[in-house]
Amino acid sequence: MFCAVTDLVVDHVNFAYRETPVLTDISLKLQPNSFNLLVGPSGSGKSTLLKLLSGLYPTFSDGTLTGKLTLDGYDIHDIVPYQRVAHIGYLFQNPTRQFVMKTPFEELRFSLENLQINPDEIEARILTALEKVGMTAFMHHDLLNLSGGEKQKVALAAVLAADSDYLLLDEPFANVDPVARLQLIDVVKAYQKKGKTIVITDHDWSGYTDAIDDIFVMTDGHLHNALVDERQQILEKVPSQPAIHADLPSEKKGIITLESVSLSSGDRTLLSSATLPFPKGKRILITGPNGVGKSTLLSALVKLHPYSGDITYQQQNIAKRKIAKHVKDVALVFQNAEQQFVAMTVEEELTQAQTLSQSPDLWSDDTINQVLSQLNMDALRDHIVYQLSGGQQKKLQVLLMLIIGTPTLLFDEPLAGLDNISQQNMLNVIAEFATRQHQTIIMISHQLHAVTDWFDYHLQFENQQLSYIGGVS
Amino acid sequence: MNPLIKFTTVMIIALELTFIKSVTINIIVIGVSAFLYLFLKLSWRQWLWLFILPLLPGFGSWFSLMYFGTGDHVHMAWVMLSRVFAYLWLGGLFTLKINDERDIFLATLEQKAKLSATFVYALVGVLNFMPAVSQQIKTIRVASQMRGQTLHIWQPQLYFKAILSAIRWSQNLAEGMVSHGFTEGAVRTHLNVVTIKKQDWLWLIIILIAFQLLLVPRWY
Amino acid sequence: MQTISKSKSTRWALRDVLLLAFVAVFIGFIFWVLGPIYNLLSAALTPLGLAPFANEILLGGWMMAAPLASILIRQAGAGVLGEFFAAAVEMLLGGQWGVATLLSGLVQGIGNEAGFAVLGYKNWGWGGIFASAITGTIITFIWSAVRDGYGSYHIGMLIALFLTRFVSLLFFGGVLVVAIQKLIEKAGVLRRD
Repeated sequence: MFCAVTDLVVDHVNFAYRETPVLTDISLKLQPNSFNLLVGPSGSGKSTLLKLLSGLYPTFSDGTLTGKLTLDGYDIHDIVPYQRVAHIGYLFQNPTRQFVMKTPFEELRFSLENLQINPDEIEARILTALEKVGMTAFMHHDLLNLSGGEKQKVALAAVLAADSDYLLLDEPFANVDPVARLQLIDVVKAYQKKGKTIVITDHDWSGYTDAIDDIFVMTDGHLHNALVDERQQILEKVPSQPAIHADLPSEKKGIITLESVSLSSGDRTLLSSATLPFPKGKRILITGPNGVGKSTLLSALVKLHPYSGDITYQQQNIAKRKIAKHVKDVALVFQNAEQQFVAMTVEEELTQAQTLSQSPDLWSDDTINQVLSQLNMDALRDHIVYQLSGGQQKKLQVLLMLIIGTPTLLFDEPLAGLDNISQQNMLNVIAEFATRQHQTIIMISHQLHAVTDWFDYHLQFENQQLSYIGGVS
Repeated sequence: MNPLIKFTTVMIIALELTFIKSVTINIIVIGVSAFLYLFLKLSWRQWLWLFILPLLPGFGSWFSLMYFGTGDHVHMAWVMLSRVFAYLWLGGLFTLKINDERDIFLATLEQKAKLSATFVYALVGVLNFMPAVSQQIKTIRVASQMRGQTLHIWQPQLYFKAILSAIRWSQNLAEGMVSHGFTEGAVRTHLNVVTIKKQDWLWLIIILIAFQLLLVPRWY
Repeated sequence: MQTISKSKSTRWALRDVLLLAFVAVFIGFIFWVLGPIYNLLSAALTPLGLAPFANEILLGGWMMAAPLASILIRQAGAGVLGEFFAAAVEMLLGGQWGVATLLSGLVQGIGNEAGFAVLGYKNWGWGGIFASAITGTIITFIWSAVRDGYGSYHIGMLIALFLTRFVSLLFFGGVLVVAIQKLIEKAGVLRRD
């Protein structure tokens, strides 16, 4: 098949935030009409590279770019968006971030109108793309109420409809169930057969190993093309889901208990009639697919999301507790760290937390100094909190919330975006001080490798059900 | 009637009402609006809304002007009371239908009024984010309560946090839009092409002329 | 292929317009929370003939989007546009006063922006902010004289209303905005290209 292939050149590219390099001396050559896999640990720079290829960076970042990054000789980020997207389609890792409109239909229409597609063609293209990913039935549903997997399918449909020569997919199958996964893989393969070039980042390539042409490996901002041996090694590696060691709770009463609690988002039921205790002084892990309702559950526990049924805190119905009082007993460590800062510098934040701590004797200046160095944060005291990196903000936020010493602490993905060492340091700090302050810990996490033996109990959230799993080991 | 034409008509008359000190004119506007509502099939809630809502601001002005007015203040008190009703009943012709007509209103702005797509889609985007905004304001307050600090409406920190969210969200939305090929100042095609019927224009002209004729007897 | 540097650059960049719009709705929401309080206050003051004071006290808050838009974007028209967005969103959501909101939103935006304009759009610090509070008070007060029948009030009542409005704007649109600006500058969260 003949195809006017455009030429994408990545030559000695460097990308850095202030003084911190993210990508170093990257050169990349993609074979026309190929299927490429980009692998590497999280935080190694894979997403950054894709965003640069898509032309969204450096414009939508604070970083600086050097080197050559061109499409047919033009700087990619300089090409007007409607022409650029016609050549390079890009799927965000987090589909919610990419959505602009209210429904899947409007989302695709918006995109195709931008690309100046003939109005007679638009509707057919939308329908075809939504059908390919199996989302036709949800065409006019509110995007906000879709599950994580459904959102990912819609986002994929949007890039497919644009019919770009290059398709950059950042973990496109991360949230979908196994059946849908195979279906979407077929869709992407078929797309490639039309003469397109695919770049995909993923942690799990089961189901499409046969389609892969080139494998690129990203380590710490350096990229290389995997040669035969390494390639073989990578392809044979089967990603394993680590086993979480946890017991079934013997307690019948909890510090927090749910009684026939149901949760919904719009007209979609997230949780249907759950009854269970969160035992006092324990560490409890909540896992489940994206968008299943884990964050919503934590929001409900701090009265930020409506629910039906009864939630009690120490036998008191939380519906009857004033929120200001309730959050002195049950606090949420929000996913977005910035949200929880109340001052300007690290020093000011620490002083504020120390003054309001519920265990002031525990949090002496010495203790705080020691924890700061444990978290590798001791040189940052006079820094502005909003200028810290994402990982530093997260570590600071967790420390501040520990200092406040709320009896029950809920954590929404505290380990996301941290490297392995930081994850372990953070878990050690939480474990030490939660024990000393007799705190109950409820945590959502996907970083299962880091926490196989850390939790007492494990709650699984799936198919609108919440249940403890584990035991007998 | 195309919602933008309706909007323009309502807007012009509302602006004129601001300068007309006539109880009669206000009552005529209320009467004509009431007549039109008969065709709009309002729910009882909406009727209630039309009667209750103007009471507070209407009588608020009325009492103040009666007590603290000077000159023709008694007349002015009645003008204000009827004007508040007239504003609301007139405006309601547009606002009570906006939920059904919002998309076509915005599309008309883009395609017919040639308003820059940047502004139109900024409005569309922000409207889509409304539920999230109200939730975010709540979250901002609760997140700092969890740090033991309550943010009050007179404290700059509350606004700083809100603006911080606005900065982050606007950048995210801009990035999302550009990733969909949205280009400032570029041509877009339209799946649904808006047309304004000739008779809509005719109605606009007839209504506005009729209203000007009403003013001839100088009721004020 | 067409590149951005070669295509005509628009005066209102997408990111600025979106920022204006989000600031407007965030500020709007903070004050919508006050709706019921306003109604209570207004109802309580009505039999005393003092209802307009409820509006005067809170007006500064309702108008905050304009000076904030100006100091964030630092461009002529930002204040008007910020206030206009706030009003347009309220109207499109089917807010109570719909079309009337849009008219007064425009007047408020122009009033506020006039302060920055008088100083030649050069002072975006406290000078410009306080100037905008002053022009905002004057221009919206003239509008009220016509629309809300303020023209028929006793001179004493007029002065009291004017002063209340001025104090509200000085606080919300002046003191508070200056403090917010300091926080934003210190946090370094705003990129200016």
